[in-house]
Amino acid sequence: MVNGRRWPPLLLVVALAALPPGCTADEKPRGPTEAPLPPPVPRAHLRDLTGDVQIKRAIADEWSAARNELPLYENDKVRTESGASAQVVFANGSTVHLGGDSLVGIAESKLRTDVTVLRGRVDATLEKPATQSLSVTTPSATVRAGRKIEFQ
Amino acid sequence: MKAALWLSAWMGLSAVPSAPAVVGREPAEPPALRGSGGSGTATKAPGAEPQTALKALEMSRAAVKAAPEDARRREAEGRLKDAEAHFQQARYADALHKADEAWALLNPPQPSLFTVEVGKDGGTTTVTHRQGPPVTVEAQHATRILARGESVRVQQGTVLPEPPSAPQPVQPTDKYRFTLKPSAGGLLGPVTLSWAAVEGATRYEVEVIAETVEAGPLPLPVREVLDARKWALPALPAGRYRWTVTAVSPGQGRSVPSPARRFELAADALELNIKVKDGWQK
Repeated sequence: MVNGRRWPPLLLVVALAALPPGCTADEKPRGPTEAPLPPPVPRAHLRDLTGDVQIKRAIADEWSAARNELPLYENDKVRTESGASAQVVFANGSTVHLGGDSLVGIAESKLRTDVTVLRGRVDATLEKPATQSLSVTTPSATVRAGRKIEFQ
Repeated sequence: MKAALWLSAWMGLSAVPSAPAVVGREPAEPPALRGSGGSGTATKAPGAEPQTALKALEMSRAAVKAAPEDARRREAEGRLKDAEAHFQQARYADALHKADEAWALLNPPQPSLFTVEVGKDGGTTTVTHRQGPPVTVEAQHATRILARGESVRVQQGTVLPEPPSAPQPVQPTDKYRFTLKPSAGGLLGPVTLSWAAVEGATRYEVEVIAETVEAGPLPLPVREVLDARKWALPALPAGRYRWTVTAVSPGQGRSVPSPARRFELAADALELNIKVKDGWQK
């Protein structure tokens, strides 16, 4: 059986041992949370905007007007109103053209897809399919094109 | 490089009579060029036999002949000239390689274009392949390959629809020999191919490949997309041909090609003799 009254002093010892050497009461311990994060790398850019095109950043709650050459990051969303259009150009050069009344999301790079189409029509182009690849995911399917395709 | 290998791969298919041709699918690297390295050496690659090199030359000659007069054609003519020289000196691997290069110059690889459309409720996805190498569509752990012109519609939570079944050729019967009167250009026709309807199919793609011809270079494969169940072929040179037909459905995609059938075109010999006799009488 373990004596419960012996735990508080033991926890104090463990907590003190975890403090970095030379740490005073006024100093905060330098932990990994303070390491500068690398700047986010855009996955794509917006181009050839016509009509009403809006963007919602992953960390934002509101939609805002999009503009040409705007960088797109993971989990950003783009939507076009009826009659509008836009082009999402990915870092590898592959492009996705959004027609009117469309809604797409830029996928996280760790996922095996590049863009998620939630509504509307997109026309995808790979100018050099031997060296480029593109994956488009929808609520019901995933389409893969380019060099990642392997015939079984 | 893949485009440069297309010609060799096509010939590889045509050299195996039972192998159905696949339209728009990128072929694997043929053994003929493995090891040749494109270095211009006279090493003999496996499969680089005179007949293979000769076929490559014939195909490239035809491609050059059909190409518009421009810089690309002139460059292809240069490669073809090199190929001819290699062939004359029995360097068949090099002849094949140069002929491939000439062909690829006139048939550059295409960009990949496809369309994805999601219905307003988000529950239906339609994928249409428009150009270039095939794309794959995955749904519910199943995968389908879409080639040019193919389309598939996927409902959320359902598996990919099964492709339509392969059409069954009807006419002509296998290995049928047509004896026809040649046209002024020496070509033979008409020949009509027909096949049975396939449920769900709205289009049929027919491909006719020459296996042997009596004179001149092998004609290029003839392909046609139709919404009917028969096709009157353009006039062709005398020789042996094989053909396949593939069903295409807007919702289900594309079937595998039908079993290959063969036919032979022969000039009407009696008519030819009369003409010769007339000539003597003159």
